[in-house]
Amino acid sequence: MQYFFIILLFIGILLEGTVTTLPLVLVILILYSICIKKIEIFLIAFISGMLLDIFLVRAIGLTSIFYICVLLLISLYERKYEVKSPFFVLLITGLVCALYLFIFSRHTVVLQTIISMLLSGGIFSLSRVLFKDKGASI
Amino acid sequence: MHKQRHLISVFFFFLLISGVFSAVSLTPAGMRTRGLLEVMSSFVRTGMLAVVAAPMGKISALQQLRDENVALRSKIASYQEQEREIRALRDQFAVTMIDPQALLPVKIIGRRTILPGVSLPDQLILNKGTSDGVRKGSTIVYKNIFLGQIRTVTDHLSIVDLSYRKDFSITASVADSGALGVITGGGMGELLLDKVILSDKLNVGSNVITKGNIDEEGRGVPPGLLIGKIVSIDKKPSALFQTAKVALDFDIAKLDSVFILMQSR
Repeated sequence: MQYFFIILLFIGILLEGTVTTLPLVLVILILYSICIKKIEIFLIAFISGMLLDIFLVRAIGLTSIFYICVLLLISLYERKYEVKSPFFVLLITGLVCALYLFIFSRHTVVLQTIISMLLSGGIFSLSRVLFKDKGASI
Repeated sequence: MHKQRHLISVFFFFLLISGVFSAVSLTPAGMRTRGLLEVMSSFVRTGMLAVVAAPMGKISALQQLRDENVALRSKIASYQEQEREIRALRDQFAVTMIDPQALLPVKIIGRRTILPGVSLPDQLILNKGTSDGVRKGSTIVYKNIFLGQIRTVTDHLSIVDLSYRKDFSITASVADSGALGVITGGGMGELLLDKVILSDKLNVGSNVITKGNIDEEGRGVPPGLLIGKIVSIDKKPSALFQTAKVALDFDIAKLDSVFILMQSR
């Protein structure tokens, strides 16, 4: 499952860094954090953010800060609520993507947020079908 | 409790590193390093662009006719403006043709859009930066057509906001009637001509051109560049202004290179 998300993340970095404005990396990191629950996600988020900043001509580290804060939020929530539910996945993806797009893009925020939520729901369902009960915990 | 403390400490560790990287990347030495990394990333970007653009590469005869049509309309817009200005007996004649020496040819190495191949790009990434004399706010043109302005520039790269991007706006006029207004991006290839007073006449099919806004260094948007043509008009007697939808039937997605206007006359 971990390799599945790492491959997705790699593809996401390439696509978001070059051809699309959709926050693909953020969506995959959220799903990675929810499905796998390993603390290495912070390192992965840090590296992904740095690579994306290089591709997107931003100050290096800004995207990493956002990703790390989001992952902390999810990690704190998962101790109190059931985060491995489609409702939570769609809700957190919608909220976080809207905030991300508002901060970094401010362009067609609503449309991109809706597409991100659909994408997130699709990948989450796919991962549940492919990998049943294979998640690890922190 | 122990796990939570561990989580928080990992969080602060990476937050601190990210913060340090952000601060360092804004220093002159950091900017140079960023420039090198951006040049290295250009190869990946160009490769990805080739992969994504490959299915859309073939230009049909219809597309060629459309391109010719756009070029002709650009000329008509230029003539219309000249005619209007001569009629008004202006002393100074604003030249709409661009001086070739003021143009810097640049290669498009990235196009950013919501869904590649489906929606139009709203940002272009160009392979020239401050080291080539490019400045923020410079105008991007292609065949006397206004495409957009540079939003971000680094040592070796520039990011262009295209005219139909949602947060884009520029003063414009209608070539045949001289009506003034503000062009704002509507996203997805649409533009809106707004703030046109009700007494001004707008016609469907009229060309919309840039009004011109150049600073003391000669940088900015020159007058007379074609933005698009009016496709529909919304005029309500009770409203303060009339608006019109403007379309740019020119496929930016198929461009390989454009020109940066370094200095306008």
